[in-house]
Amino acid sequence: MSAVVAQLLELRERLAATAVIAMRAKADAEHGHDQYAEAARGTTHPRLQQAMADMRIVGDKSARIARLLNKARDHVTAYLNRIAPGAVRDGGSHAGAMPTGEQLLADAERRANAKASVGSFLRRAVKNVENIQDSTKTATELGEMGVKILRSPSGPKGAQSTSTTTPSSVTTVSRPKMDVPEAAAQIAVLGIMTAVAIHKTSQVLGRTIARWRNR
Amino acid sequence: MNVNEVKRTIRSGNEAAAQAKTTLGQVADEATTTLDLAQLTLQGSHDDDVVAALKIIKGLDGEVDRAIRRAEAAIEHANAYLAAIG
Repeated sequence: MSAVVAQLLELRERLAATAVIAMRAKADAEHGHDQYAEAARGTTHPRLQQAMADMRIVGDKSARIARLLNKARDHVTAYLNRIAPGAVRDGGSHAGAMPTGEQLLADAERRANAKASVGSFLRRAVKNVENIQDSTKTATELGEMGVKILRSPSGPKGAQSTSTTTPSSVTTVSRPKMDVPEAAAQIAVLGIMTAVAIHKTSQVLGRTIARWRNR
Repeated sequence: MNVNEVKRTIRSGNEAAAQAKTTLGQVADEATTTLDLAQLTLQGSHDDDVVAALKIIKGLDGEVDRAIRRAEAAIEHANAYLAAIG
């Protein structure tokens, strides 16, 4: 269940970040429309009027796409609140057309993580674990969650980005002080690494035993 | 505004339209990835919110495509005007 919660939190984050991109498309379209409008001063040429009308529609459609994304995010939030009360920290509120600081931050962060791999997913999962703030959760459970993420057959889709932007260097802010959720997350990562190590060791052992038997 | 300024402004409008297209392409890419994640996570659930969320996410591709085609149409019209004024 905790793996599902982590993935749903990730899904919410992605929906919000995509809404921010859609709002950028709206801004692009509005700028285009304004340029055409400026050039159209003193003329009523039908083609230029049509270009203006089209660009207005592009802006409206982009805004609609952003609204739809936020609506989908609201549904995910409502579902999350039912299956895991307290997992969503901000209650899923968003200020309509204007991207919130959280959304902008998530957008920037996702760009930074464009070359994401399991490592990035883990980092996000760790953050989501912090969001869950479930102090009753044991390190073993957290480890199991991580292992599930690693073992999921097609891997977390969230870990891949198709963004065409050049990823800037990933900046990891080192925090000198370690708080409790962070410590739990560290233990979770340790648990995953241990599980992987055990898995590999058993594979090697298995092969060695097989060789020994075949002799 | 003389003819050269008009042309320059329209070209700048075209660049913005092309940028809108590119940005919408990113939205489409993200929407595809988001749909994959949503289906992976919410598969088999008949919850009303899950069904509604998946329906919206599935429809995004079409919405984005229509917006991209509009931006292309805008550029086409603007170029026709550029050709008309010589």
